[in-house]
Amino acid sequence: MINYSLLDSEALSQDLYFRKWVLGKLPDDDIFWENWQKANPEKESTIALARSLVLTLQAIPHSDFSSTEINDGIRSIIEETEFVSKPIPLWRSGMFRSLVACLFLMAAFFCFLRKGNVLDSRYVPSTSTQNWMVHRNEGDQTISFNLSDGSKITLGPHSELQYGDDFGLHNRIVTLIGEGFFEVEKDAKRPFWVITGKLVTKVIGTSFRVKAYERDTTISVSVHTGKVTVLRQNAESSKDHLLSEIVLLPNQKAVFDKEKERLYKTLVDTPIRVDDKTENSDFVFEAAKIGDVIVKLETYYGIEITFDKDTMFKCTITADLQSESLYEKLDLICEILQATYKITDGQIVLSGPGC
Amino acid sequence: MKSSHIPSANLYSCDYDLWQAFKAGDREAFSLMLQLYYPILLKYGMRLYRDKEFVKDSVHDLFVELWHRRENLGDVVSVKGYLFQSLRRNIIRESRRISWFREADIISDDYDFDVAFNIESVLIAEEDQKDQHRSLQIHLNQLTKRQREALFLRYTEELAYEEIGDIMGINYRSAVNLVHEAIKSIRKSWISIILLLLYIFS
Repeated sequence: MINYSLLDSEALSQDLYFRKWVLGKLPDDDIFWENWQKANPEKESTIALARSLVLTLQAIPHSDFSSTEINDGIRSIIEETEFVSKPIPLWRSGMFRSLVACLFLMAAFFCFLRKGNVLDSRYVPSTSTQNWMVHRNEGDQTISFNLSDGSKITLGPHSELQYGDDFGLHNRIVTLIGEGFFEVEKDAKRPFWVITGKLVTKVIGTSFRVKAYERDTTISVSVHTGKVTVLRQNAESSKDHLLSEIVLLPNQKAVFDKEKERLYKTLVDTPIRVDDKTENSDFVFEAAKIGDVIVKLETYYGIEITFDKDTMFKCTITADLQSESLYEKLDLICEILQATYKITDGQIVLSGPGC
Repeated sequence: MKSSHIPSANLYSCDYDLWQAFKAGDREAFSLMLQLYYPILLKYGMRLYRDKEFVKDSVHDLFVELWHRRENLGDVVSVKGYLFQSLRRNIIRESRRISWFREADIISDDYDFDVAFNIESVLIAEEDQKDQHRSLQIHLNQLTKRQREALFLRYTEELAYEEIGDIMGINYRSAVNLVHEAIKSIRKSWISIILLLLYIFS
């Protein structure tokens, strides 16, 4: 280990470990520098100067190139180098070349980097690390902490989160036992993976809850904001090949039945408001057309609701639904219309005799 | 002890594998290299020459050329350093050629290095701190383009002095000195800033 007290501020400001600390790239439980600071109070001004050097000499990024331009640029390089072994003129086999290039591009985009390995999106990545960081919550209360990429984790009672010490460098992969609420920092290049037994959740940047207690018969993933991909992996296959995937939007939930090995989409237990333009006061209806009521509900909760327009289009609602939850609102509507509803594939289907 | 405790720890421990795979014609390694380095090469290129199309073409040509010559390439210590060095050489050469053709262009003797550092976000621009800010800005502007480039490579791109030397075509000692002199020349204005930062962070 380096004797940091021998370094001056200039040397310190160029030390990669120190820089990680200043730039907030160290895991939360790495408190080496906090301790070092306390143990070396006479170094206060050295640290301050080094810190200001690190922060000030970050060049302000140019935003000259959009991600589309970057992707197009990469594609054109891949395309141009595709058939190097055969000196085919550019104008020949254009279609085929673009097709192959597209395939390559798609593969390239979903590539996942770890220690010299490239992984396809259909495979769950894994870390090659030997050193595992473990957050364990033995208590009955939830605990919150941040990961090195800025993502915030709230760990439920008797739950455990594990990740390699290379987390955030090339990949963002965590393993969860129990329950966790994830508020993931957006990073399109490095998707965030939560591995829970046979179910894998992949996001770019969003918030969602995963429940995977060993004693439960199901694993569930509920989406709060953003878009979440849930994949089921086949344990029999040596390559962890993923069998099926579903995409979840806010207020949707994926449930995996561990025994039947079945993955299906439904709604969260308490859907919340996703649209900030609709007000609660919009839910006071006087002889309102059923279609309008449904549209209000759809935008407020961001959930698709279908109903039989032919039989029910004449129906009207007079009710005050300001304070009820979604399901209570639906119950009341159904009572008024003598209708029923069911939740299928993350949608609500309303059916009734008509008015 | 965690590996991160070793300060100049190899961030590039997998570079060797990546480079070998690329040289062997592995398309996945090549596309990975593109994913990793294409965007940052564009950024670096833009600091050398502010013409989007020109920089884009330069980076494009660099990668295409590398792919064609891959079997004849030697081993590299740092892929990033090697790519920066090659791009810089190509851009300077090409821009000289263009300016010779066009006569009128900006590149007179060498090249320029366009970089703005992150002063604003560090200093909260309240009235009584504007002076320090201005004095620091003036000092940064007075740095030579080579000093600015060296600071950029060292502090923003976190490259090693060996790599900076290779990229800029100078030896290790000169790279160290370039950064050291730059820091020394702006140190005067630091003093007032340290006091300020001590106040902010304590």
